[in-house]
Amino acid sequence: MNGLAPLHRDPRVVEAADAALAQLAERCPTLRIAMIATDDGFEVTRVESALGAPDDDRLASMASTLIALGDATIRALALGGTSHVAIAGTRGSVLVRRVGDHPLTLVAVFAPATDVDGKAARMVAAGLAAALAPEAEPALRRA
Amino acid sequence: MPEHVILFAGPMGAGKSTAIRALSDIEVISTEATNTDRAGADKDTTTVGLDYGEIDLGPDEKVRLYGVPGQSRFDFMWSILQERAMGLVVLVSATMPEPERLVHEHLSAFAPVARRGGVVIGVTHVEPGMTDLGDRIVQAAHAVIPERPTPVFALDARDPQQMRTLLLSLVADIETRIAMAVPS
Ligand SMILES: Nc1nc2c(ncn2[C@@H]2O[C@H](COP(=O)(O)OP(=O)(O)OP(=O)(O)O)[C@@H](O)[C@H]2O)c(=O)[nH]1
Ligand SMILES: [Mg+2]
Repeated sequence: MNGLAPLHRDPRVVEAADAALAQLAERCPTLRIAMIATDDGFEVTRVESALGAPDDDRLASMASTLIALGDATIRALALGGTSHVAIAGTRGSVLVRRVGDHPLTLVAVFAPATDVDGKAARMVAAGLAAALAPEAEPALRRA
Repeated sequence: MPEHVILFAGPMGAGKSTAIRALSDIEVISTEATNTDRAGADKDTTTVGLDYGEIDLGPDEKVRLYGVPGQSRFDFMWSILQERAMGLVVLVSATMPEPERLVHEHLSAFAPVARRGGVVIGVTHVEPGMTDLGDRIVQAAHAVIPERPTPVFALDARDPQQMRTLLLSLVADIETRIAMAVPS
C-alpha cells in the first residue's frame, strides 16, 4: 500500500499469499477453501480444494467481522491481543487467524477440522508474516 | 419510556463511528480495522463489525446506539443490526460525490427501521456555499419515504452538542408516534 495499488492487489503480497495457501492445502486434507484477506475484508487470494468451496461471496468480509468482534471481546476483558477466532459447526469449521502484525488474515474452512489443521494454519500464517516482513513498510502495519 | 435502539447508517467516512463516540456515556465498543484501500475514504481505519454506545436520558430511559459498517461488503451486518432498531440516523458527508444518491441508497437499505420508528438525516463536512444540497437530500429522502417528512440536519459528527440535538429530535419523534398509535 504505497499509494499505488491497494494492499489486496499488491503483487508482492498476492504472490506470498498464494505460496502460503498452497502449503496449507498440502497439509490439510479436509480443507475446503482457504483465503488470505485484508483486515478490512478484501480478498487477496484463495485456494479451493476438490471437496468444493462453500458458496459465499462474503467470506472475506465475514472473517474480518469475526476477528474484529473477537478482538473487541478480548480487549474488553483485557486478555491481550487476538491471534485467532475458531467457530465449529456440526459439519465443518471456520478458522480466522491473524498474519503477524500485517493487516491480513488467513481464513480457512474445514469439513470437518482435524487435529493438524489448527497447527498448520498457525505455521502458515507465521510463515507468511515472515515472508512479508523484510520489506514491509509502515503502511503495511496494522493500524 | 422503554429503551430506544438507534442505528447509525450511511457510507464510509460519513462519521457514524465518530458520532457514536461523541454521544456515548459509556466507553464505546468498536470494531475498527486498518483501512487498506484509501480509494473509499482517506482515513486510517474503517468499521468492520459494529459500534456500540449508550446514553442515559433519565433514571430509566436508555438509548442504545449501534453503528454499522458503511461499506456494502459488510451488508450482512446491516441485516443483523436493523432487526431490533426503532430509529435510524443516516449520515452522509457533503464532500462525497452525489451525497443525495448515497442518501437514497443507504436510506433504502434501512427503510424498514425508518417506517416502524423514525428517521433523521445528518449531513457532515458541510461548508459554506453548499446551498442546494439540503433540497437535493430532502428530495432523495422523500423518494424513499414519501409518506412523511424526513428532517435533515447539517452538523459536525465530532460535536456532542450537535449530535445530541439530532438524536433528541429523533427520540421525540419516535415517542410521539408511539403515543399517537396507542388506541384510546
Ligand atoms: N471536518 C469535519 N470532519 C468530520 C465531520 N464529521 C466527521 N468528521 C471526521 O470524518 C471522519 C469520519 O470517520 P468515521 O467516523 O470513521 O466514519 P464512519 O462513517 O464510521 O466510516 P466507516 O466505519 O468506514 O463506514 C473522522 O475523521 C471525523 O473526525 C465534520 O462535520 N467536519
Ligand atoms: Mg465507522
